[in-house]
Amino acid sequence: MPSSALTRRSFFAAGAAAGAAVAFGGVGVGGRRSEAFAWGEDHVVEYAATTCDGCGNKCGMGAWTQDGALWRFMGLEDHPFAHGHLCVRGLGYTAVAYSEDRLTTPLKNDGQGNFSAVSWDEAIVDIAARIKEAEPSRVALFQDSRATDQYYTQRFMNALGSANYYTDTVLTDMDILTGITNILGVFPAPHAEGSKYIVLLDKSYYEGVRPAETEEVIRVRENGGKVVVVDPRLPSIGALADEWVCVRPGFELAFLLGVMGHLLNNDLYDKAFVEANGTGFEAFAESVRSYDAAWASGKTGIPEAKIAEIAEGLAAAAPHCYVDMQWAGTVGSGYRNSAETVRCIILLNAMLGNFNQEGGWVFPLGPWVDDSAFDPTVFKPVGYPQSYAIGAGVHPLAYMYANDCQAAMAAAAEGALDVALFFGSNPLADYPQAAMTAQDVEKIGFKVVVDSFMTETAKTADYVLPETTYLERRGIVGTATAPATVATLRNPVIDQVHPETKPTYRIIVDLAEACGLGEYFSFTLDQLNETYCAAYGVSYDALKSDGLAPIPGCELEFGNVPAFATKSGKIEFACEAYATGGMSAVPAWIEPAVSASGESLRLITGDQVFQSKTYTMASDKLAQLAKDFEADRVWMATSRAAELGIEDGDVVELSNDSGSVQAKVRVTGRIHPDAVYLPPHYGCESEEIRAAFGFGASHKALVTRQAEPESGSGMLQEVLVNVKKVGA
Amino acid sequence: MARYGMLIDTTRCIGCYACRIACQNQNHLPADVSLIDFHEFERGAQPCVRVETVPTQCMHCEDAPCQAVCPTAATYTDPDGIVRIDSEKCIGCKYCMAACPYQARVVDHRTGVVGKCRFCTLYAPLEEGMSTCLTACPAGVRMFGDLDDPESDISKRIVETNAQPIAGDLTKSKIYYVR
Repeated sequence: MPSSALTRRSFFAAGAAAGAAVAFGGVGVGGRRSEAFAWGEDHVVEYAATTCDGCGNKCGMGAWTQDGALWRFMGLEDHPFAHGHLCVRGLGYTAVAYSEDRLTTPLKNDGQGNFSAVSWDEAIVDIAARIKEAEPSRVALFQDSRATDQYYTQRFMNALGSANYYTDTVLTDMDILTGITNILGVFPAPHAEGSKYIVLLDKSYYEGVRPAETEEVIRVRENGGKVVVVDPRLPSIGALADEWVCVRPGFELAFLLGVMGHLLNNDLYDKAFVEANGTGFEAFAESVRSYDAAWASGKTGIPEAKIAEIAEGLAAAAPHCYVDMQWAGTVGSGYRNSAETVRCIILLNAMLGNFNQEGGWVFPLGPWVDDSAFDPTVFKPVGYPQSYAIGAGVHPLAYMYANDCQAAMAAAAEGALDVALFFGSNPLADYPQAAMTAQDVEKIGFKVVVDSFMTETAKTADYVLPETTYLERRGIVGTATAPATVATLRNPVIDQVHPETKPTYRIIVDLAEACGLGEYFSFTLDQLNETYCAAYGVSYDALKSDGLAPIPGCELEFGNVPAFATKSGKIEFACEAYATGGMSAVPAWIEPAVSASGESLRLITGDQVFQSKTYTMASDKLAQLAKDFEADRVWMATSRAAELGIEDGDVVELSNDSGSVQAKVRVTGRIHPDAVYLPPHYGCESEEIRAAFGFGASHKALVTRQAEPESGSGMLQEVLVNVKKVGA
Repeated sequence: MARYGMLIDTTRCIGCYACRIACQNQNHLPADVSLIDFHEFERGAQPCVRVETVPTQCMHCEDAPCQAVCPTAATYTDPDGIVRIDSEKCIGCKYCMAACPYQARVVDHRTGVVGKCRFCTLYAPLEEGMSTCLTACPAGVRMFGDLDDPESDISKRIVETNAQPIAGDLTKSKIYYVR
């Protein structure tokens, strides 16, 4: 626990010593005791630096407690994603620790859906017996994209001899991972700070922008730079942009091809850069030259002149400009043409020559850690499973290190899984086609859910194991890659709230021991963290007290060309992997799978700025925010609503073959007329999560389980719904 | 004495609600008690749609109607111009709620006290880690300081941007808006 115990009085004394009291002369400390909402005096205030868990970014977070209870939170100044701020979900998600709906003890299902408390020993022995009985290839483990304690969960599956380890990559970043690994072999990040022209593409899917990005975008404009949002829906951060260019959903690829064609046809690209660093540029240019601003205008609905203007704006600002590639968004999993869209984002940035340039795309240096960092007498080598994961090999362009959770569900429907372990993963709420997913999960012989809450999936499990929250535990040393990459560590902020809960890594160790695999987990969390610290060249003590530490040798030098770890060692403007994967070696237009007309509209989605998936709704603060501002409404464009006789506040039914839901309409100019937007956070069906239960409609009830043939991406926005006014 | 006020630059506000949650954390408020409200305005038609979010809270009026109607003087203005509440004197009659033109008074159902913003961010420079509407905002929407000091950042910014109280001189509010 943090050791810097200070009382409020000593805080004030420290403040006075620093001279702050002079600036605020005359402010008395007394007299506030009887004020409404006053925080009291003479309390013990403690501080811990840790990481947030509101999404997968794991921003550095400072947390203050008062008399041992959570109090307030701020982003860490030196964390590259935070710059001293947390986003709203990070501030509000902290409320889960004290939720009255927390799971407090292991629970066993009597087979009729009634749960009763059991001891950890009984639960672990029983679960281990079922795991040992099963063929390893018929056991699967699922995590959400935060992948808590992944070192342990993956190692457990490897020790067991099963490759069936799943996160939700096909529903988020599959096409981005595919694109980067094949075309660049090195991971880019935007350098907003020094940019003169930024195109924010599809930001609406992931509104929870990194807090530092908000400040950076403001600075770009203050410095005379331009920020253009290209999106079928105007996102929150759009309020800071120069303009919003409303693109027809599913046609972002056409916009990119139009911009690239315009650059090619007008000799506006960085010839020296592509010649020195690219391969296959001639074949690329021959294909892309046939697309121009006029063609793209016809597809996207964006005026031709605007597309040309953006292309020329980028070219004029190059190399201090970029087209953003939003992780966790539809860019990586939205449409039939998402793999091609991602490829074009990457290659357009390459054409601008912005790699490792100020205000362009930078390639942060991360520390390289391989097996040699791990002492084999402590970390017994575990090997890798001999068989492939269920679902592997179906999609030739799939990123090889991410398994396909949708394929696992489809296999479960055929009875392929005897045991499934869900760690913080809630497929019944978060995977497409909720009704079908529920049926498929039902067919899994034996299910264990590890979570802090009784989720929809937990209610179907044979055992539910209570997990401690992120605020009550230490984590595994990680990294935040940026121009100056840092190591990060989650540290405990408060004592465990419920004594019977356990962190994920502890549950894995217990399970491994009971399965006879304890030899692979004979190390402590501290030993694992010490190993990472040694490999990164950082101090574990520093990470415990500061939550982060700069990694020596991982500071980016601008102007360097990154080392492209591709087959050719160059930027692959023409890429053989795409050709063998069923696409063209060079970019080409691919039509989206569905098109909107009349009452049949494209269903689009995307995180709201204060939510993530469905799990943040367990925070009463974030749930109340959603309720106060009716965040569960379905968005419909003003023009479309008028055409269909729908008014703001009307209740509509959205339906298709997958299901039907009702929602109140928000008529707005912030969305393309072809689309309706339904947030993915609501419609909780577990009455045991009281903050969330009964509010809003389930987006996943309407989404088809489907896959881009080449990459396996979930095509989450290739969905049509019929929209009908209720009571009309 | 100082005369404290705040500037809210809505041209920087992305409507993320971070200030509401920061305020709730800092002031130990439950989820359903918020001292900050939000008003969203959508202007223009496609493709020229703009969204403006206007956060509102107690305006710390110099002619504070809530103070004028308070039968027990629980609402008072301190020498720094901050409108405060003595919770021991508040009888929960809610006259202040009816009187406030900004609907900024909020019942804390735990105590019955009708609370509001009390410019706690005043203490942020004195105290490590204060998470207030001002310090938590990732977009730097808010500025706080002495309105009587022409050299203060806030006074200069009010002049530069021609920031105005939300309802003109209705109550001599000390929150100025850039819109």
